[in-house]
Amino acid sequence: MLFNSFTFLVFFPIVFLLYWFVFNQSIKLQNAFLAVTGFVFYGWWNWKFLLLLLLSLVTDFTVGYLLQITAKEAARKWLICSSLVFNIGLLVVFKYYNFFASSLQGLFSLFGLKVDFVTLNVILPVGISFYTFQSLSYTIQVYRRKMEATTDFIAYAAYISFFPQLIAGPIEKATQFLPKFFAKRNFNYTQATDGMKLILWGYFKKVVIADTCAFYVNDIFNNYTHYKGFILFVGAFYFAFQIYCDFSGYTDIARGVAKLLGFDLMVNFNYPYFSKNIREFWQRWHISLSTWFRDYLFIPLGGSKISDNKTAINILIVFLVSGLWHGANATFIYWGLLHANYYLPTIYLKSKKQVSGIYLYFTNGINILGTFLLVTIAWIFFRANSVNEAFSYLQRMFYKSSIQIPGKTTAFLLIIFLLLVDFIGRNDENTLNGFVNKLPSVRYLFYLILGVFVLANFYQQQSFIYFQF
Amino acid sequence: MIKFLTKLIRFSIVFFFFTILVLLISSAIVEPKLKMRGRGCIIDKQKRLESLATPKILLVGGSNVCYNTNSQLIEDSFHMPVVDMSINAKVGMQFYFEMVKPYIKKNDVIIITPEYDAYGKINFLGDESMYQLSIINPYYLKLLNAKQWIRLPVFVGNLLKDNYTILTADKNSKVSNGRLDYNKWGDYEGHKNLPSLSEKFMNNKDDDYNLKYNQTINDDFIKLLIEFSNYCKSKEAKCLIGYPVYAKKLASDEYAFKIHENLKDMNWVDDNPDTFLYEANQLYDSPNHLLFNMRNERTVKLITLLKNQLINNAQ
Repeated sequence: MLFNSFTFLVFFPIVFLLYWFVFNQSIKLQNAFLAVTGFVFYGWWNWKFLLLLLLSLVTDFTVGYLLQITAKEAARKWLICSSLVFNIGLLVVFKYYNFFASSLQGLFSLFGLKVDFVTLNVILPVGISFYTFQSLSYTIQVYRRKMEATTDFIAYAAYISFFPQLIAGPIEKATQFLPKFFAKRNFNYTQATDGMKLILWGYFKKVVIADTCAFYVNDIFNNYTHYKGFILFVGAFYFAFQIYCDFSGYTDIARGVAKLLGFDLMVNFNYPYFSKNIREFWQRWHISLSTWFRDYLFIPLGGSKISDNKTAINILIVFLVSGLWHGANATFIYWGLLHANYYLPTIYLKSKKQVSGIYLYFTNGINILGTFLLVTIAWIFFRANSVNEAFSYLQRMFYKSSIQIPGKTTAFLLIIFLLLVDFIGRNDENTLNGFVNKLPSVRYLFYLILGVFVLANFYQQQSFIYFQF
Repeated sequence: MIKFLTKLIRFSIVFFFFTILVLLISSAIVEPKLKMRGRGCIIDKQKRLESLATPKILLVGGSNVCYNTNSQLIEDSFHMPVVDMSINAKVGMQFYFEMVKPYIKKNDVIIITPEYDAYGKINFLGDESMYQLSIINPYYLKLLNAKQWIRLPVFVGNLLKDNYTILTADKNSKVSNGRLDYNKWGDYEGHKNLPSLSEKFMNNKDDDYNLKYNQTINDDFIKLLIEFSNYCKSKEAKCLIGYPVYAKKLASDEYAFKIHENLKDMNWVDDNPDTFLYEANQLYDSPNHLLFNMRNERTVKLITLLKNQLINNAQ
């Protein structure tokens, strides 16, 4: 079920009313109801993949329980390995098998060897990378004895299948999120109005800005051989904002919906395009995934408390895996490696120079623009259908051309508006709160105008980019 | 909770009225431009409908009618004035029927040709296209029934978006499918000299156009057609229903016969659905639209069949 569908607009009010007025007698009832709604939400797309979600649930719940009651370290290691193999196995089968098979086939053919791998004709279950990572976070934390395994299967099912973040995150850590399913939830007016503002701003970013940009991005990227120069810059620029508004819009809606159900989800985006360097960018972009990789991959590899060279290798590995996490395509690997290359200098070049006054604004401005440009170039690899296409697109960007913005300037004006709201509201994790606090007298009019824009664009119902991951 | 719900309801009410206000203001601004777009042809069709003497021939249906008919040929053959009232299937047959009902008189001939999709996929109550006609002429609001009014909120977003698109359209760009592309009988001529774009719909990967036997038929639509036919009878007018033009490869005789079976008590132009099936290279931009130079051939076929129904049967 898409957040930007009429089905969801009917589904959620029903869930909200039943949750607070019918199932509010006990936490257990609310959890059971949340688990069921999660299954309905997921099964709406393809009920057959509910079995996969259930299998993942049962397996990791069982592994967690066994880890809790097993004292022997060797046995515990076997158990955590089984959870890792199972979850990563799911990803390999459904997401990467065909990619690896065809890559190996290509590799063998370089040496004149003809090897035929059987390719699987499987559909990628939506959100598989998100819920397997959330599930893994639970077994790893239990294995590390950072938390006790739960014996309440219903609460665990509600935690994994919590519909606001089931399909595209944020990926919540079990230590932080699972305990919330055991605490009594009381309706909180401030939390609910915060949620409504997040939902409104999230919808605006998705259906108004992202979908408008998508129209031009699709045209430019699909026909990039017909374009050159400036227009291809515009295509990449629009895509940078399309993906930001698409994904952060989804997260805002997810956080807003969760707030209305009495839960606080983690902040997943913290104005990433205002980052002054790549390191900062990754502290602000898709924070839940970055912290997942930091906690379960980067730190176990040695983190940053080792030599610079070893840290650099670890960074490279993390970005490679991060690229692969996004999809089984060489473009994502290049995208990850490109970011690793951007990141590596920040390990070796530790500037101590302090600037202040007007120079500070100037250098910050230059750094923000530079970082944005680097990120935008990397997005070309993310968006292109193949690595060759990405390189060709990049090459054509530097061909001489006239300066013209494709089609109407609507997308451009919307981006300016987004940046303005983001800039004014940047000190609040709820952008709209931060923005309207500066303009309290017109806040209702502002909500009404945003609402009309959302309504006018709602019918497009384009899927979220991150659903494919 | 009560405070939250109260505020939410209050905000929703204010939002509702604010949206209506924006819709009304934007509609008033776009009205002159909208009148020159395709849907603006309704003004000329309505005028012609009002001015024609009885007996007359009324052509009613979706775009398959106005794209594939040369009304002048029909007029010359039967020596009766013709008006082609069709615009688009999505306007909904309910609206077309309500629009022509006041003008049906004794001995008039009404030929209904709904698209195959009109029997199931497309809602006969219409979409935003129909509400747009009311922006062009508010009189049409009177023709809407309760169900159509209830459905209006679903299309408010689309109407707002369309208004915005029209407002921001490049002044210098030619409006494709504009009001001036319709001739005085109401037939569309904007595809004159344009090549076939059949690859788009023949190779549609979502299989949107392939008719199948098990495709649903809306019982309410069948009821509506029968009711309209009975209305015509009550006015002593002749009502005929026909199969639309369609791409031969995408058609399904079984589905057509299923439709026929549901409407066996109505007068049919022709029992054979294959009569109006065409090869892909004879079609323009949809399985329902012929190339401009094919419409005479189709009209001549229609005239022959109509003669059989109207003259020979009368004898």
